[in-house]
Amino acid sequence: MGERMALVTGVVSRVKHVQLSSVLLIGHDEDSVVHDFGPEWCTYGQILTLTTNFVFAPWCLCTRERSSSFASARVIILQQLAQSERWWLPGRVDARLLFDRMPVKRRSVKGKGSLPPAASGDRLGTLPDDVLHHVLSFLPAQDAVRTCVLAHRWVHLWKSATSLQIVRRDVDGPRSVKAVREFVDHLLLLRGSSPLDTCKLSLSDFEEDDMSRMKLWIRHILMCKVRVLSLDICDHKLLDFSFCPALEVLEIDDSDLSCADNISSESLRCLSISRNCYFDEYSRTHIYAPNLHSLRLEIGNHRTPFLARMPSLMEAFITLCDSNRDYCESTYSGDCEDDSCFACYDIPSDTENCVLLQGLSEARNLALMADVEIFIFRRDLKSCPTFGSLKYLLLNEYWCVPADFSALAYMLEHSPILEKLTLQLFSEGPKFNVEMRGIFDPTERSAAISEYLKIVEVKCEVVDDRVLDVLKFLSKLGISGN
Amino acid sequence: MAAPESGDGNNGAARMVTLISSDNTRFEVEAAAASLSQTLQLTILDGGGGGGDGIPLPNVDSATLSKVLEYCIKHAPAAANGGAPNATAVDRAELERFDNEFVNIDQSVLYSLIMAAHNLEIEGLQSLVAKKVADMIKGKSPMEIRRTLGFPDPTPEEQAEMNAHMLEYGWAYE
Repeated sequence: MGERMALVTGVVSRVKHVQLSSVLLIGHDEDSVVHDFGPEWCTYGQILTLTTNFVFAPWCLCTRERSSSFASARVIILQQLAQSERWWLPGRVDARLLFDRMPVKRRSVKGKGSLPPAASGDRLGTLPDDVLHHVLSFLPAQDAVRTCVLAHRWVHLWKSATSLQIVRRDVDGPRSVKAVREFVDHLLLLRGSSPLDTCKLSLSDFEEDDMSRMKLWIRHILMCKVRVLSLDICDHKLLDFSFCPALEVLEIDDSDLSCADNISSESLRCLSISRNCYFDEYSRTHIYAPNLHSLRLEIGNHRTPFLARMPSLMEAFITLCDSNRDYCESTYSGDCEDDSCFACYDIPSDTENCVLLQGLSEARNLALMADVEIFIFRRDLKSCPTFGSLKYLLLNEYWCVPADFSALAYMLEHSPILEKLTLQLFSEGPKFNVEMRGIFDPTERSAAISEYLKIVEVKCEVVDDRVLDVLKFLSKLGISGN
Repeated sequence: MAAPESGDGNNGAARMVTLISSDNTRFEVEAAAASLSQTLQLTILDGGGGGGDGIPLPNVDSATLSKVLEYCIKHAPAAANGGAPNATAVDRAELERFDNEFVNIDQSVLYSLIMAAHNLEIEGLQSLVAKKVADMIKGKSPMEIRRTLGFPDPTPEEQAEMNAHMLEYGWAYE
């Protein structure tokens, strides 16, 4: 047999809707299994790079579990094979096979493309279920459910949609839990455990006795294996998401997190908590999300949460506002030596006495913004974190006023591979009147600073004395404007 | 990895590919724009669609394809930048303005676009057209939706079924 190396590269997102457990490649004699690709081969979105030194006929590519949906995956793969000279193919595969699954084709064999307007009657009804589900995903749940009366096809469609928006339907619509309770109860009960990808729950008016109901809803949503969850209501002690391994994205806005001891999930990739959330006044919430890639944390009220280590962190944007409760009357940067001081102490004893920075120390991109009164960052610096992966750092005036550059110097000296630093001074942006760029003078470069640091940007509204002080400090390090 | 004999080289000028609509019109576009389609991306990655060959799209007519490509060409640069990070607010606003106007179209065109976007798997366009249909549904009564979407008037049986469902789904109408 003429053996030949075969190589295909492609993104197998094409088979994402296919339910199959394995793919078999079968040899010429139709009996021998040439290669058995396990289920991992069929994973959604996986880059497929497979090599095999067998020759096979395309019509022998088949599944153990033949199903109609597999037909589409098969022809796509065949198409791929047909395009490549590197595959030995006994006959030409018609590229048209690629489009076999298109429902329109069956309807308009002679019609060449779009149907005449007269036939447009219920054109929407001719669209595949996943297209209609996609449409439903852009509707508030009330509107989505109400489509059930449109036509026979729509009666149960909403139940299998993978996206749910339990939100106020319009500006005047009800926003209280009580007003929508019956609706949401029916909604969740009738759609049952049908899988969810994305869910937004946003009802801001609730009372104490609504809590248990909301807790039930959120648990139900999590049981539907939701991947992206956006909440602006939160219940006490509800934030242990560890029993929902599918959850990857969590956005929390406008929520009372004051009784949440932990926000915990191993599967979480993106977490966002807005400044409208309230943490507890006394005890510190612990955020345990070791696989986080992206973190956005705006701490407005009460205690700054404690961040556990996040080794895969790519980017973090941290903002601490002045209503933050972490201040100590006796000291500027913590360490008041009073064990009962909530702000200076109260950190898990098995950690390195850092509230935020140790958890952020493995980030690649980092933005640290704080009002000057807040001492959490100053306090954290005492435990000497190092930012070994940091390439891009954005800081505000907190780090370099009032004419105290020790914190800024610390960050520069402990970020060994930093490439770019941006200082955003006395202005929140996003537009700035003044934007300056500095470069290093190689002869004056301070040895303590990353040799990779190429760009320093300073952005502000006006160059006043405070900004001039910062520029002077930078020039001492060998950074000057270009 | 592309087959070397495909001969349309990716150096210098942007690589072009040819797409052929159901009515045999040939469209030559930059590979980067056509690659917004997940379906085409596979073929293009493998060196297909160049030179005299072209990729036949037997289910997309030329009017729809030209509309689809208008979208792809506009969105290709932003997609190449990996989406938002490098785009300025101005660029984003411009794309948004383009998108809004783009779907301001006749319903039959919209449906053809939906099918084409679905089959070609152009993610951004799929969302754009789905959102457009959702906007046509939002806040309307069932009869209004039926009218807006061009459903034929319900037969008495259909009307009876609708009424029965309205009753059953009373909880969704409060």
